[in-house]
Amino acid sequence: MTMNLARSAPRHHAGRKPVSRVAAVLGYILAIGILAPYAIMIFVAFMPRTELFSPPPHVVPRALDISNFVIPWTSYPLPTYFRNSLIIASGAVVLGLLVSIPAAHALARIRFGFKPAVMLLLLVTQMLSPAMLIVGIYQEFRQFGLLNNLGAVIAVNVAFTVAFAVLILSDVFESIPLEIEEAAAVDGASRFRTLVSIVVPLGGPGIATAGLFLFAQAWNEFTLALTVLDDTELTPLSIGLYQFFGQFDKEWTYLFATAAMGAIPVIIAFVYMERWLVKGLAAGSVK
Amino acid sequence: MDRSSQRLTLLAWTAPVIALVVGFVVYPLGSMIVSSFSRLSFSGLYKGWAGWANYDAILVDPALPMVIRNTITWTVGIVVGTMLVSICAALVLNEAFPGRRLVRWILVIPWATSLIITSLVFAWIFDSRLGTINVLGMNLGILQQQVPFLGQGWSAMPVLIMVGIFVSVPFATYVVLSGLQGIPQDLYEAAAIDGAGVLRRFWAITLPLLRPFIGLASLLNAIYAFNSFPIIWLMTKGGPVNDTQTLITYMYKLAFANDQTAKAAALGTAGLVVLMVLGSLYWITLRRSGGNA
Repeated sequence: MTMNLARSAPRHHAGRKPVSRVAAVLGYILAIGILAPYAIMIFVAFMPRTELFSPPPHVVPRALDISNFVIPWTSYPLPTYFRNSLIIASGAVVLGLLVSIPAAHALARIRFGFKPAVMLLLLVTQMLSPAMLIVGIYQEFRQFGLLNNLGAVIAVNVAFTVAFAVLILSDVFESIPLEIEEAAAVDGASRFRTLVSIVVPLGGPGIATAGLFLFAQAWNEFTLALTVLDDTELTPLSIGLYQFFGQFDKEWTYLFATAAMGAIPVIIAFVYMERWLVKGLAAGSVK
Repeated sequence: MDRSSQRLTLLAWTAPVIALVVGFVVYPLGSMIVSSFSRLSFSGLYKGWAGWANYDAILVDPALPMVIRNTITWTVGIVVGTMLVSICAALVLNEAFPGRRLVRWILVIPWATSLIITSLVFAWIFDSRLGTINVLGMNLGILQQQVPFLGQGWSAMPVLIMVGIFVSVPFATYVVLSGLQGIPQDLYEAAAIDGAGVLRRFWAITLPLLRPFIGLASLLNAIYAFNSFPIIWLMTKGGPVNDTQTLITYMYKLAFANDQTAKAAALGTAGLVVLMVLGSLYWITLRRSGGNA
């Protein structure tokens, strides 16, 4: 099964085709349409709180106020929110890579019946979301005393996103020439040693992508955290933003300044992985 | 090390992933299905077998017709809208123009930004008092009075669907774009020599060759929309009344606001059946497109 998704992307097309004016105009319109809502968010984030409510209503701020980016750090538990999000997201990277690297290596090298079963299991997890299973997850958490446990949140996040990591990595590892690994084996290296000293270094960019994906998904996760974490000391940023919105009488300027601060790291990560994303998500494929 | 023991090693290496998925995806899945056939106490403890009683309770729930209709509107609306926008966007991004790379990066933003942030931004844009649409509409004289877009049934669902499309377009566009880039350029050149115009080339070459990609993107999008919870929960909580309640938000409300866990489990299990159908279609499409996509 070969889905030539992101991997194709032959750049030479750009050089061969003449520049299209129509495409340029439409492309810029597309870009503006995507950016507009976030521009509005940034406008509000920089608007002085009093200006937001002062008539006449307007969209673009008259004065810039960077205090919106500062005040939430002291008047709301932002450090706690960011800390918890960081724990959840980096925990997901560590756990996700620890389990997916060996699995991906195995899947890249196995040539018999067991493989489609694993692939199918992974594909099924990609179809499901924590939201769809939230009733069962909540019951499991209560049954085993996992409510308000960041480690358990990390495990669930990884369970639902690890399929992407495994699929990306097995593809990357498969492209490593078998001879290199066999040469290492002849030299007496164990399979584990081969993995650590040859496969992992050669698969570097793929591993980085898988890691970033795990990080971004866990950082942005909402439904699970909303349901199984109610200790305010454990609240991650996603839920913190929601509470800003609900409890404190819609402090829009603080909300959007905080949202902007929380979004930037993940956007940078996604731009870095752009070319890989489609492959991992669409090609839940049997090779 | 001989071949079979190598195989055993490799099998063992997939064990952690399988354990994690079984422990935190398969187990809750089973637990939900069992609950859907159980009598549960107010706090969710098992109190005995219930047969189909929870499913009967769902079937006679007066909100059910509304929930089903909304779920279909939501899912179909997002998929159709997303594909229309994405096919156009992919065709555009497949052409060469200055700044194309930048536009591709910008396209990633709605995907990378958490649904929480995007939903809250749109909640602000459509806010009944100070929202951008109302402010601009009044200032430009288009709106006579402020419209509570999210507060009334007829406008709330279209706004939610629009947000759903907005966040789905990036991924679908990338899938379609990768399909476009796999189409050999000489096909077009040959057709052009034969005198085929732009539209004819689109219908006769581009669209047929893109079909598997459009199919995959649509199915993944449908699965994703069907599963999606945060947009609706953050913007309307399924309201006003149940006007924007979908299967997943209604299930959440039953479980965590109404303490009707068993009934929620029955609804969730019904949702799983729908997902299984969509998933099988995806699997079939994927296998069928194997040779040529």
